Amino acid sequence: MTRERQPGRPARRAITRWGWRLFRREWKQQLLVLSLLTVAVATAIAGSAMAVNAVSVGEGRFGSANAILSVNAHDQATGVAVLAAAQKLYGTTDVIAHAEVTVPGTVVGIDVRAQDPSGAYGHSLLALRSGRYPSGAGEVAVTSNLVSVVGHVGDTVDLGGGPREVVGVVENPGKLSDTFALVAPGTLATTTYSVLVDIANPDRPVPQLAGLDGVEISGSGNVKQAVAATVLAASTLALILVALVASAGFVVVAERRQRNLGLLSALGATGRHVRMVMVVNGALVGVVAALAGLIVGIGGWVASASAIEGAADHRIARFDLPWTLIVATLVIAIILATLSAWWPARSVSRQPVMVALSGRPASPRPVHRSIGLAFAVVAAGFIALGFSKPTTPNVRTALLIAGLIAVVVGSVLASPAAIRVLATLSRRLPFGPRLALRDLSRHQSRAAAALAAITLGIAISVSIVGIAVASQSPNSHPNLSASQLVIHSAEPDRPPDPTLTTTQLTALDEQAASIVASIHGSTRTLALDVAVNTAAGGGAGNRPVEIATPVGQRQYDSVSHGDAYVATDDLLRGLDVDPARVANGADVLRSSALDSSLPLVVLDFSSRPDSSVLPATTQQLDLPPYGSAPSTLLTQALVSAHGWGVARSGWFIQADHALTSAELDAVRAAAAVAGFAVEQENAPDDLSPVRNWATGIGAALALALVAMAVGLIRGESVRDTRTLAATGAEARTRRAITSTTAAALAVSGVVLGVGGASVALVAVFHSRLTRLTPIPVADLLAIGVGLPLIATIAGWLVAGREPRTFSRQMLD
Amino acid sequence: MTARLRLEHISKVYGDGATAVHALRDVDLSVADGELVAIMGPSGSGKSSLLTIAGSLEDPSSGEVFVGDQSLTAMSRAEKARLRRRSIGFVFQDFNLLAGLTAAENVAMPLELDGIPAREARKAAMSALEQLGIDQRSEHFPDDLSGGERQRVAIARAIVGDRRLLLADEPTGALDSINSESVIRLLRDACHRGAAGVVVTHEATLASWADRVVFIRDGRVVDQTSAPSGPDSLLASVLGPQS
Repeated sequence: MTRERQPGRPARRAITRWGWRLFRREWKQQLLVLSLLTVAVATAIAGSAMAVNAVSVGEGRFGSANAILSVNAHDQATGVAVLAAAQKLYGTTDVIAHAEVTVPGTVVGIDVRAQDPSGAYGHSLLALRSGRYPSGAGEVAVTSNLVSVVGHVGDTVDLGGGPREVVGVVENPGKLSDTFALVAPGTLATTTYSVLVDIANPDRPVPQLAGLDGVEISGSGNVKQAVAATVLAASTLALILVALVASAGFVVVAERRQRNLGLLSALGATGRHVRMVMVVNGALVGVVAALAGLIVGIGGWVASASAIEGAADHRIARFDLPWTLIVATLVIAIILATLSAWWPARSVSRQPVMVALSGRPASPRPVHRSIGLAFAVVAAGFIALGFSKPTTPNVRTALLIAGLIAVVVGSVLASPAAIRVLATLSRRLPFGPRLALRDLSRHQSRAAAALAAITLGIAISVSIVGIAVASQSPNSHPNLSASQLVIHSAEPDRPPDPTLTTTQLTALDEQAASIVASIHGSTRTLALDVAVNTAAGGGAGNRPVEIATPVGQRQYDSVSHGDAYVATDDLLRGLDVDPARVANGADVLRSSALDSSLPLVVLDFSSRPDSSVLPATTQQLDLPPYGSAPSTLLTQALVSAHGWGVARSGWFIQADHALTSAELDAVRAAAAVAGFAVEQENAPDDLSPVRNWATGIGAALALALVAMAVGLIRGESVRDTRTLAATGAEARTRRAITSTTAAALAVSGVVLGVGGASVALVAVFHSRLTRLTPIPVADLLAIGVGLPLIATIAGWLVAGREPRTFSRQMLD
Repeated sequence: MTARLRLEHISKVYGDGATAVHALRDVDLSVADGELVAIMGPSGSGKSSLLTIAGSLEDPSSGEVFVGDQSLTAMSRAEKARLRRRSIGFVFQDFNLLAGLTAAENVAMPLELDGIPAREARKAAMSALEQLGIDQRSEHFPDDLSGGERQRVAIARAIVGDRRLLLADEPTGALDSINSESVIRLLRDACHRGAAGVVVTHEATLASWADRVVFIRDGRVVDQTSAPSGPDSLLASVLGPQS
C-alpha cells in the first residue's frame, strides 16, 4: 500500500521562496506600509527607552539597597551604637554620614557627606567627574554646582573640622541636582547618618532603636514595571492602529497579486498555500520594519539621551534599555503585520480561481451580518465597561480592557457597512462623487480597512478629549472667584479651637477686618465656622465635620474642600440667602450651581479611625458655586441635633472687583503677621492643553490616514482616471472624485470614531454623566467638521493633474 | 482507448433569473489519452467555460466531469487542487508565469506544491525544459524571456511530472505565427507521448494540428470533425503513427 504524498515542507519552502521573491520585487510598492510600521516601531522603542529611563531608580538615594535607615542620634556614641545594631540586624550596611555646614558668605547649607565610593549599596550614587576621590582627613570633593561656592580643585576650604583641599569634582549619577561635598569615610564628626540596607521582608516592622528616625522603603522597581507596562500597552495600541492601515495596504497588495494567486490555485495550490504567500509577505514586512524600527529607534534614543538626562536629573546608560519591552514590541509588530496580511489573504484564497485569474475585484460581501455583529460587540463592550467600575478605586481591569477592546472592534466591524451605505447614498449624486463612492464600495475590503484605521485614530482622540473633560469636572471647578478670598485662622494641621470665648472671637474678627483693609472698594467679610464634635474630647485635636460623597465601599470624596462651614444666619444673610428659606429637615445646603445628583454624607471624625457616616438630606440654594467658598453648608439644625460645637475657621471675603496682585500681596503680608493663611483664586489644573493636543494630533493622524487611504484607493484606479481623461473628463471631475473619496472616508471615520468613543465614555462615566460636561464643542467641531473639510479641500487641490501616460496595462 | 477526460451533459449558467447566461448547454465530450482535441467557436460561445470546467477551475451547473476514473462532482476544493497538481496542466493565452520565479522554478512549482523535494522537482523541471528546448534559459526570470519562450516554459510546467491532461486556452493568442506553430507542435508532441490535450483556439490553422475539432456555438456542440488535414496528419498518413 502506498502512502498518500503530503505537500508539507517542500510546498511551504516553495511558497516562502516565492513570497520572498515577490517581496523583493515589490517592496517599493509596499513602502508606505513599511515606513508606517518602521516609524511606529521606532517610536515605540525610543519612547519606551525614554519613559523607562526617565524613572529614577530610588530617586538617587537608595543605590542598590531597598531601604534607608535615617539615624539622628543625640550623641556620637549613640549613633555608633545604632549603626552597630543595624549591621547586626541586616548584615551588610552602607553608611553615609551627613553634616550640614554653612559656607561663610552664603546662606545656603551644604550637605557634607562621608561616603565610601565603593560602598556595598551606594557605589552607584557616586561618580567622579574630574580629579580624584578624597582619601584623607584634609581632602574634599564637591559637586560641580558647588565649585563656584566652595572652591575649585586645588583650593583649600574650611567646611568645619579644619581646612581641606578640594581634590575632585563628583556627582550623584542617580540625581544630578544633588548638591554635596564629599569627604573620606571616618573623617566627619556627626550624629546623622543614612544607612543603606537590604531588608529581606520590607513589610515586616523595623525594630525600634534609640536614635533611629525612620525607615524608607524603595518602591521604584514597581514604578519602573508600571511604566514599562503602560508603555507596552500604549505601543501595542499604536501598533494595532498601524496594523489596520497595513491591512489596507495588504489588501491592495493582494488585489495586485490576484492573478498570480489565481494562477497558483490553477497549478494546484490549496487555499492554505495561497494564504501563505500573503502571510509570508506580511511577516517579511513585519520583520523588515521591526529591524529598521529597532535601528532607527535606538539611534533616536542614543541621540536624545543626553537631553533626557538633563530632564530626568540622572545619568542614563545609553544601552541600559528595557530589552524585554523592546523584544516584546518587535514580536508584536511582526505578529500584527502578519495578522494584518492574513485577513486579505483569507479573502483572496476564498475567491473562485476564475475570478482571481480574471483580475476583477471580488464582489463585496453582504454586510448585514457585520452590522449585527458590530452592534452586538459594541453592546457587549458597553456592558463590560459599565460593570468594570472604572471611576472607582475598585476598578475591574480585565473587564475594562475587554470592554474597550469590544467597543473598538465593534466600531471597526461597522466599517464595511458604512462603505455600503455610502454607495447607496451615491445614486443621486453627480458623476464624479457617484463614481468615487461606488469605487469605495467596489473595493470594499481595502476601503473598510482604511476606514477602520481612521475610525480608531479619531476614537482615541475623542476619548482623550472626553477623559480630559471628565478629569476637570467637577472637582476642578475654581476654588474661588477672582474677587473672593478665604482667610484661614489656623494652620492646616491645627484644627480650629471651639473653646474660644466671645471676646477672643471678636478679637479674631477685628484682626481679619484689618487684614482686608488694604483692599480698595467695598468688601464683605463673612465669618466662617466649622462644626466640631466636642463631646468626643473637644479641643484643638478634633477634626471638623466634613461633607463628602461616597465613591466606593467606605471611601469618600470631600465635596467641601476640607471644611464644611455651618450655615449661620449671619453667613446666609451675607450670601443674600434668607435663613427662613432653609427647609425643616435639611442637613446640608448646597449651591444650586453644583452637581445636585451626588449623594452626600456627613463625616464625623470624632470616632476615628472609623468615622461616623451620616446620610444627609440636601437642599439646593443660591450659594456661591466655588469649592472653597461657602458653597456646601451644614445646617444649624443638624449641628444642634448632634450637639456639635462651633469653631471659627476663617472668613470669606467678597470684594466688588477682581483683586489685584498688589492687593493680594498686601493681604498676604498682613495675614502672615497675624499668623493666618490666605486662600485666593486658584486656577484649576487646566487640562485644555491636553484636549487641544489630543484634538490636534488626532485630527492630524486621521488626516494622514485619510491621505494614505485615498492614495491607495485612487492609486489603484489609475486606469479609470486614464479612461476618464480619454473620454474628455476635465480636471474638475478628477478633483471631485478624489475630494469625495477623502470626504467620505473622513465623515464615516468621524461618525464611527466619535460614536464609538462616545459609547465608551458614556459606559465609563454612566454613574456620573455630568462629569462629561461641559461638552467640548470646539474640540468636537474641530474633529467632526474641520477634519472632513480639510480632507475635502486637500483632495480637491491635489487631484487636478492629468495622467502622464495612456499606455495599456502590461501583461504579467 | 481510455478516455482521459469525459464530460457528460455539462451545463453552465452564470447568474440567475432574468440575468442568467447559459454558457454551456448539455455538452458531452470525451478525450482519449494521446488525443489532441481543438475547440473552436465564436467569442462567447462557451469554449473557455468548457475548458475551465474540464480543469476543475469551475463547477458545472449540472452534468458530470471525469478525469481518468475520478468524478469531480464530489471532490472537495483541496482534492481538486491535488488533482490539478498531479494530473492537469494548463496553458493560458497570456503565459501566466509566476513573477519572481525563474523558468525552472516556475516549472518545478506544481511538483513542489505536491510535496516533492526541491532537488527532485528541479530535476524534473529541467527535464521538461530540455524536452521543449529551452533548458538553457532555465535560470531566467519571466521578464527576461520572449513571448515564445514564456509560452514554452508554460507548456513545460503543464507537462512536468506525470500530467496526463493538457488544457490550453488560446495558447498562441499572444504569439507571432512562427512561435505559434512551434507551440502547437509542442502540444502535439506532448499528446504523442500519451497525454490527452484540449486546445481552445480561434485559428483554423492551429486547429488543423488536432486529431479532432469540436465546434461550439451558444453553449452547444454543433459539429465535430475527425482526422483533419494538418502537416502531422499528412506525415502520419504517409509514414504511419510512429512518425
